[in-house]
Parts: sequence; structure tokens; C-alpha cells
Amino acid sequence: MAKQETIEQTQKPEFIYETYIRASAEKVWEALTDPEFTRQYFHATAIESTWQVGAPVRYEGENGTAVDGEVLEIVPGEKLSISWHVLYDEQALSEEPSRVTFSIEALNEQTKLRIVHDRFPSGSVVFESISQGWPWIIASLKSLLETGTALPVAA
Amino acid sequence: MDLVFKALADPRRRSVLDRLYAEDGQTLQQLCALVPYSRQALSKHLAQLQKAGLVVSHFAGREKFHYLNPVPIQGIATRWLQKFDDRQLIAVAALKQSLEDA
Repeated sequence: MAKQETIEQTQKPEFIYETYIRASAEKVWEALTDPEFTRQYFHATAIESTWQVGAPVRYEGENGTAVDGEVLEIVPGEKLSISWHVLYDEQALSEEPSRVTFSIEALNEQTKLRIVHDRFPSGSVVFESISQGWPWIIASLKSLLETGTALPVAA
Repeated sequence: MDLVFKALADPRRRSVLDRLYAEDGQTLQQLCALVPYSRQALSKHLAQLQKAGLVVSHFAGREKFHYLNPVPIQGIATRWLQKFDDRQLIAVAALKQSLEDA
């Protein structure tokens, strides 16, 4: 175990995104884990899980599941780590899942949200498209919590 | 938002963001090899970029890696652009790019 931790600590993630949201940490956690929230900022998909380690997680959209994975680590209100298997892109279907970790930290009136996306398989198709996706999702989530409205989806 | 504009106003700081866009997650030492000024100056620029939220850092082992965080730029873009049709903007941006590349 100690050996695995050493590897973990020296591996550098591929993407890190961060934002400060004028909302409570509880609200930000709810926005990440409640389907009524994700529907508004995450490509109209509803997140579904029983939130136990090892349980499946799915972002369900009108046209089927967009992303599926499993809960790798969960500390309610603070940290959620899930494996990330993309289903919305046909080319990514056969790809090994990557990992997404959401960390929440309350700071005075604001909450810091950090999203780390790592452990991409080599030659990942998902890797290429990620930098287009998260910044918009995060900006939309921030807008939703601060103003009550998510960003309009491009027609 | 003032901090973001201030950070972006300097071409040296924009070039640091360009370096991270090309390859994300670099140490101070790696970045230092890519810029034509001192490590001390680079440290200062990185500190300003971090204060503006445009760069975030991550410790792995003994190394500190710097990452481009484009979320504040997305925030600026959507503040003034979201009422326009995204497709038109993308088309205009693509046209500008193709004309400039030509």
C-alpha cells in the first residue's frame, strides 16, 4: 500500500481546473451529486448513483448514458473520485476509463471547487476533447449556483 | 476579474500561458528553460497568474507542477458573449484564424 501511495504522489495529473463559487460547500456538493442540478449544467444529463465506493455512477441523458464509471472514493461534502468512461463519443467506447476527482473546500463566503482529470490511457481520444469540455461545464455550474441560471447551450 | 485582465495584460505572462497550453503541468525549472528571462522574473509572473486563478499548482512528490486554468477566461467570455449565437462566433473565430494563417 505504501508503495502504491508513492506512485500515486509522483504521478502528475493531466488536467486541473479550479474555480471559486459564491455558494456554500453543501450547495456545491449538491450540484455535483444531484440529478436535478447536473441536468442544468452537464449537457442535460442526470447523475445517478447510490454513492458507495464501488457503486456505478452514470450521467443519463435523453439519448442514453453519456458517461459511466464507478465511485472510487467519497467523502461527502469534500471529495468525490470516480472512474470516467465516455459513451457519448463512439471512438471512446473501447477506451479504458480515466479518473475524475472533485474536491470542495469552504473558504469564508466562497467555496473552492477543484476538478482533477487524470489517469488517461495512452493515445486517449477523450484526452484530446477534455480541454474543450470542463471549462464550460465549470463556468456553467458557477453561473447556476451564483445566479440561478446555467449557461445557455450552443444551438 | 480585474486580476485576470491585469495578469493577461503582460505579453510575458501570456506567453507563460501559451507554454502551459502547449504542455500542461510544468515545473518552474521546466518553464524557466523556455522563457528568455530570469527565474526570479518568471516566479513573479507565475505568482500573478496564480493570484488571478489562471494558473493552479499541484504537488506530486517533491515537485510543484503548474497548470493552465482557463475557467476564469471562460467566465469572461460567457459574461459578454453568451447572448450571441455561439456558432456565429466560432465561424468568425475560424475565419480570422484561416485568414491569419494564410
